[in-house]
Amino acid sequence: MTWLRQLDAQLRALVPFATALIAVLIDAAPLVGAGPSGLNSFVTLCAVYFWSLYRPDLFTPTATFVTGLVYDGLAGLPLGLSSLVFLLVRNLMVVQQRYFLARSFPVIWFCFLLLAPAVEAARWLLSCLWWGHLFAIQPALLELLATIALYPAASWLLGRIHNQTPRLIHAS
Amino acid sequence: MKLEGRSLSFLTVPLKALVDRFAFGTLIVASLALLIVGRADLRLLEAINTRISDALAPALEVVLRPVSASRRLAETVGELVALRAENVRLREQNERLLEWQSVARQLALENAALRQVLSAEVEDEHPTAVTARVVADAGGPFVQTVIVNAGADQGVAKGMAAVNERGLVGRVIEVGRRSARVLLLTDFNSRVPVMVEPSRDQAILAGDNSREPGLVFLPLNPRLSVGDRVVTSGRGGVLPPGLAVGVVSRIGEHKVAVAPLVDWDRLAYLRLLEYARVLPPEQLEELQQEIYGPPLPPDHLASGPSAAAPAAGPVPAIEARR
Repeated sequence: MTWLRQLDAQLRALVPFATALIAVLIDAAPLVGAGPSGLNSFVTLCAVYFWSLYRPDLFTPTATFVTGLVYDGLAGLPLGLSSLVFLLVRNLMVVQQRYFLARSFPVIWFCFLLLAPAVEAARWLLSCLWWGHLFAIQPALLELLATIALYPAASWLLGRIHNQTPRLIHAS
Repeated sequence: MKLEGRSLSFLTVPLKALVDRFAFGTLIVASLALLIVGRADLRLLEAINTRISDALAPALEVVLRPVSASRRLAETVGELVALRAENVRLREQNERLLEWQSVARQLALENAALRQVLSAEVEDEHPTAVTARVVADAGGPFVQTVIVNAGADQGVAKGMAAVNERGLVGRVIEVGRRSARVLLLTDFNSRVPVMVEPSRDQAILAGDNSREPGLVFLPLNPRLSVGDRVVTSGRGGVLPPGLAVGVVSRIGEHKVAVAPLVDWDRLAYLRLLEYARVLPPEQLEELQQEIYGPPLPPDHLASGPSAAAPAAGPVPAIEARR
């Protein structure tokens, strides 16, 4: 039965990447309106931030890159745009991990509140440069507000998944 | 043994960090390279995007299921609450529509009679359509496209007009095997040849990512007023003519805004219209050569009927599907 345990552990090791992909699908789903009246969220950023902070060993640079690639492919955005942004977010979180890990949830949310505008600004700037078109800032701001408001719920859900993830990996 | 274990951990931890850093650097470079290559070769970018959308279309449908169910439930509760008022409104609307129906029938008969008198060519007014469900509205604040769950396998082709019960929604720009991407009217890349109905002024409806796209390339001294209906003109042969698009909502100094008829909050199903357009003569010749081969010399034609068989006789009308 050892191989079953190993398989279980390996599947559980894929959980951060799988949840990031589910977040991509949730972002793509037409939940509230569509097109110009659609309220967009960027739950994928919440997932990338969370897993880069708590399980960078499982949410590897390759997983981060592929998450970004899938996000861009589905969104019709320039390929590489989100990969670049997610990789930078992951690196920042890994470098600052010692500072973050001992902090309470409000501090982590506050840091997300500081990071998310920088991410949105980077996406906006890269999109403007790539298309050679000055995009309006308002839709990006709305997306940013929705993402910041959604972070506690996303973090709670991912936290519950996280609590389940390492246990069996260590048990194996 | 203890020493060996310790020395191993001393080795593996920095090695893992090194590999991580190397992977980070490599993938950052790969992301930048993808951005540059994608800008240079849009077809490659389109092909990869289509592959990804195609692979994830079934997963998107699964994600949408609980959302659709809860939305239907909310709508049902809402409808039950407003049943009486809705009934009164529908009765009034029904009466109005019946009046319009009789007017439309009369006009259709008159139109047919006048066409007969003029011997005018009538275009196919009932194109075949593929119905598809909107499964993704991705793109965020930068791109306004939706992904539908029908692709080449269902007969969807690039350039098809996407409409719903209210009017034009956009057009198909990428086609996979089982999914397709529709560029919405409001996207900053969208350009639709239109006609303002009362004056028959031609213009291009240009999206700008806002709720109300603007009319550009209007004729000099256009005769426009707020409330005028805007329909597709069919110019350029990409979209069929006469599809309802919107109404002129604002006439400003810098922008003539058009409010699309589509209700973006209820964009669930789309009809993708198959439009057979007639090609201009020069393209028609090219297509004939593709089908029948290069034209044969006149002496060869005279040598015998059997040799000239493929090129002889009336050439069937060729239409190209976009």
